[in-house]
Amino acid sequence: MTLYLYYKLKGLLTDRSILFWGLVFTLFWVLMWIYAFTRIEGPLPPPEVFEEILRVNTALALSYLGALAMGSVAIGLAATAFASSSAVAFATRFTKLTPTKYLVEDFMAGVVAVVAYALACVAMVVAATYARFGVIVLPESPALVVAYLALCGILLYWLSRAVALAMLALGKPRLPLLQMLPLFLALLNYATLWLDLGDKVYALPLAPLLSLIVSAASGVEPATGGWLAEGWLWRSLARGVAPEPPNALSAPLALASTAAWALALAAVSLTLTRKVKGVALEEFAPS
Amino acid sequence: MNAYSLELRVSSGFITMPTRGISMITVENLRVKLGGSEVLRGIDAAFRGKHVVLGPNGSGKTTLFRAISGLVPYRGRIEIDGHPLGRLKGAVKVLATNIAEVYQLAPVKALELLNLFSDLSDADPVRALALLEELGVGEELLAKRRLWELSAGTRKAFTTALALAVNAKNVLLDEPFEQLDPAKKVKLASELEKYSGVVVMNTHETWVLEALPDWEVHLAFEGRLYGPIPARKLENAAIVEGWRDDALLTIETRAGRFSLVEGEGGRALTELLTLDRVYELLTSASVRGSLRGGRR
Repeated sequence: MTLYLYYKLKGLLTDRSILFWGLVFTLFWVLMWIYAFTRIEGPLPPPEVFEEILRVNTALALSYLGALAMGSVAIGLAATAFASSSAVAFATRFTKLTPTKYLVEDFMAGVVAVVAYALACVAMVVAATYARFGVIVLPESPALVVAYLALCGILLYWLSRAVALAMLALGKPRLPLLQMLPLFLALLNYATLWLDLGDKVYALPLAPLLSLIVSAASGVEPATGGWLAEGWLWRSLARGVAPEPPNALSAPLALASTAAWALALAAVSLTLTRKVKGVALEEFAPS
Repeated sequence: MNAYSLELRVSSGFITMPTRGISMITVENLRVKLGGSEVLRGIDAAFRGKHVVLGPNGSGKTTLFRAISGLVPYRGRIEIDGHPLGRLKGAVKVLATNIAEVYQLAPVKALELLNLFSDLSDADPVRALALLEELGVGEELLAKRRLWELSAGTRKAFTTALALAVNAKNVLLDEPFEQLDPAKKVKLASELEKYSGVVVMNTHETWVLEALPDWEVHLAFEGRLYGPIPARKLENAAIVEGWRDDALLTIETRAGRFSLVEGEGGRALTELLTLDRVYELLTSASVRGSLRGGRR
């Protein structure tokens, strides 16, 4: 690991603002989900059914709250990309940090940081579920969950970078709404818990991936959305049958949509990198 | 001068481009617009050896350094050691600067930034820390705070020490004496005297004329550069209003025209302490009389 990669990653994992939004803000919503939004009415179902219900509940929480955590971290990524833009302009010219090396190492640090905060969210959800129900519910396919989280990280990295560079290109260093775009996207995706977008879900970045994470963590078939709409999920689980979503998500299409979004955002980002070359970055860097 | 190799990064990969050359920075018809107003208005200069850019606040001194460092869009030509600025990539030890933003590569503690930048630019971290110690900045403080959490004076000392520790062929120092006490100013001035490469420093303080008499001085006013003139000559120069045939320099400002002359009359330049006072002298009726000696 090079020093730049190490320090960049360390910076992202120890930055107070990112820690607050990525951990404290997320913890609040995890606690709300497990203690306030999760209601058990009537007599408890048999233990194996109850565990299955908790597994699905945990999967939904770690996926959609993980998106909030990742969106918050992506805002931090945009902010650091923005603040370090002058340093990068100088370093790629007058130090050993060539543009290619910078892009590769910055990308790696960004994706690892996003995944790390998402995994912290997974741990919080598992721990909170255990604290309330006394059952440890781990994801069904942990490796697949991590792989999908990494894809989320890639997508959000390029989104945050495109956002930071767009602000520089526009010469508008303080556009809070634009900077918050990754979190808005996560919140928009959160709405798909109740709203089934059908095939339109493939047009929404992140949403198909979140559904795949739910599926990988719980073992249920992925849906195009509307997980909590009309109670189909809980009714099936309570009866002890595998839930069948009204509209099933196609995993290949979901991955193709994610790849298309990531490539498009990377292309925008790299184009903007060239466009903002030489912009008066020092006007924007925090003093 | 010794020949040296300058490593350039081009699209096809690394190439080593042997260049016979002398360390120098040249700018031709350099123009910079920021926020709609022209901050640099056609600057021509060749910096070889030791130079001071002396000018009041807002004269474009820092913008000039930022343009040379590749941080602002510009029109005109900038060359470092004979190579256009736009073509320089991965050019280690060619240019160093103490402009703070250049060091904000990652949101980590200042000491970690020092290690990171030393690694990336082949700087000597021990030398940087030794110089910082002399300037009153301890390693312990740097290990605790991030760059933007340091006071302005400490931040300036940090970036200046790091810029010098790179031992680059060309160094740009933006107000390096800012917020240093007199003893530390003398220490830093002696470090700058010893430096073997090109040093271009800017300041608005006139005491440097006496401290660095062998340096070449450019005066910066309202986006234009005048000179160079040896500091030794300016040390005894006076400011007179208007122009004179024997003037070392005649400078046009929005507040009026003034000349720097040797000999009788006017107000001694070093007496001003800071060039910001020129405007006060030119516009205030009560002190304007002290500038008599030139023709309007």
